[in-house]
Amino acid sequence: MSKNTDLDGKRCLVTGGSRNLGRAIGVALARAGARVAFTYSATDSDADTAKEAIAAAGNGEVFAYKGSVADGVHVDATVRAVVAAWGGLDVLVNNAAITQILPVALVEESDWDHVMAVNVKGAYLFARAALRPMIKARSGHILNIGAFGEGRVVHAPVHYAASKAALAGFTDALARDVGRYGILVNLLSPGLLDRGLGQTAPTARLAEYLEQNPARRFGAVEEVAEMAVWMVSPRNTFMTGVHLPVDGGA
Amino acid sequence: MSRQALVLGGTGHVGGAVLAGLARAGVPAWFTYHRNETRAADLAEAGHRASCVDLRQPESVRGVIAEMADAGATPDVLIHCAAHTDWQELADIDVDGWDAVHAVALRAPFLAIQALAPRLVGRGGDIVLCAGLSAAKMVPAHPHAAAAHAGLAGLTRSLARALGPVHIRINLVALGILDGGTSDRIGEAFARDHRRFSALGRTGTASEVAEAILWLALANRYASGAVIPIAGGI
Repeated sequence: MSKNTDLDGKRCLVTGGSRNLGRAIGVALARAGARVAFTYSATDSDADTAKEAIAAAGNGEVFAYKGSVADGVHVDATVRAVVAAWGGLDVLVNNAAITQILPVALVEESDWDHVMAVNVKGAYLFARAALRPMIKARSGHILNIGAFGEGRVVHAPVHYAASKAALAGFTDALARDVGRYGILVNLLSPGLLDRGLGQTAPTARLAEYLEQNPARRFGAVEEVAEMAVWMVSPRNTFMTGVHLPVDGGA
Repeated sequence: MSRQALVLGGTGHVGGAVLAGLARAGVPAWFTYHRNETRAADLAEAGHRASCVDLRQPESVRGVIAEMADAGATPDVLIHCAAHTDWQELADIDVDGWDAVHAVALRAPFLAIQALAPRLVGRGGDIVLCAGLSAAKMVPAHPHAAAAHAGLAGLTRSLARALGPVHIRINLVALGILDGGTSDRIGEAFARDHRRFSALGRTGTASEVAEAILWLALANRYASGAVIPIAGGI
């Protein structure tokens, strides 16, 4: 794919950027000319691989920060470090998320709290921290990554579905709140992809998805990443508060 | 295979911006127009191919697809941004007025897609339809236009499912109030409310919405059946 410069020099932070869709978004941002930092919570070797891929796609330094998005200290330190290094922050992609494939009867209260902490509180903490430099600059993009089947009755773990619905509401209210500063906030809801949940969900669910999906295939993380890049690029100036499904029409 | 576009309603405010974007992207385009000869001539001079078509006439709609096919220019990108803007309030809408608005906004793209889809089997394609924001949100709108635009949302969802297996994507953009074009006919009160209640606090421009339309038409690979408000956050 040819390199484009839609995001030339833009300073971008992707949470959960070491693997799967997060890594693909980092690579696509770098390919579009952006400077990319990402967070990760678990595996250093995955982060190293992501750093190499992002660096190869772009032409600048890549920062990786290890920690939980639900940890306010980690969040504030990460955003401070990015701003200190690059003088600001133009794009935040709230991608980090977890799920557990569990029936509701087996979801413990601690499971519920943990999923909510990562998937919802993490987005809130990072958005709050990122908004400080964005409001100062009176511009910015925040993109939250939602989930397949938003607004529909589909099989999904209840705590995961609830967390993604909360993220959708968060997107709407935040878009209205910070639009006056020229900051756009959107939600991208991917279908099942060729990496991540599209590999780990129960086999019957995956077969059902393929059977029902008009495209008859899983999405590629790169396809969704390209949409994400457009949504946070300077080419998007009038779309905010939108929930955009990228799911093959499922 | 190189891409070929057809824009229904090319002389309109949004259609003109879309054609300009297609030219920048190097995609050859045909467009339809009905009355605006002067604007059509300007666009034709810029390199686009013009067809004078009354989109209220089914045979004319089918005819433009056939004409392009005969010329070896079957489009794999269809963008519908035509509108019949002789809008009235509820008490004044007669059957002819209802039918005209629906014929241009809803029936014409249906007929064009029906004629085009069989020609795209094995090649795939991208369709982007334009509607007013009432297709996605509860906002003030003229009833016949709102009903047609809601119909476009249904058409989009239905055809995404029907055409996905032959690699044709279809999406709908629901446009907020813009500076100029049909938005001027909606009334200043709507525009004032849009500025007051939208997240960005302003109306949009044709070039801003054309950016979204063009991305969906030329670069998108996995979104289909989506109804996407491009409205500054309403």
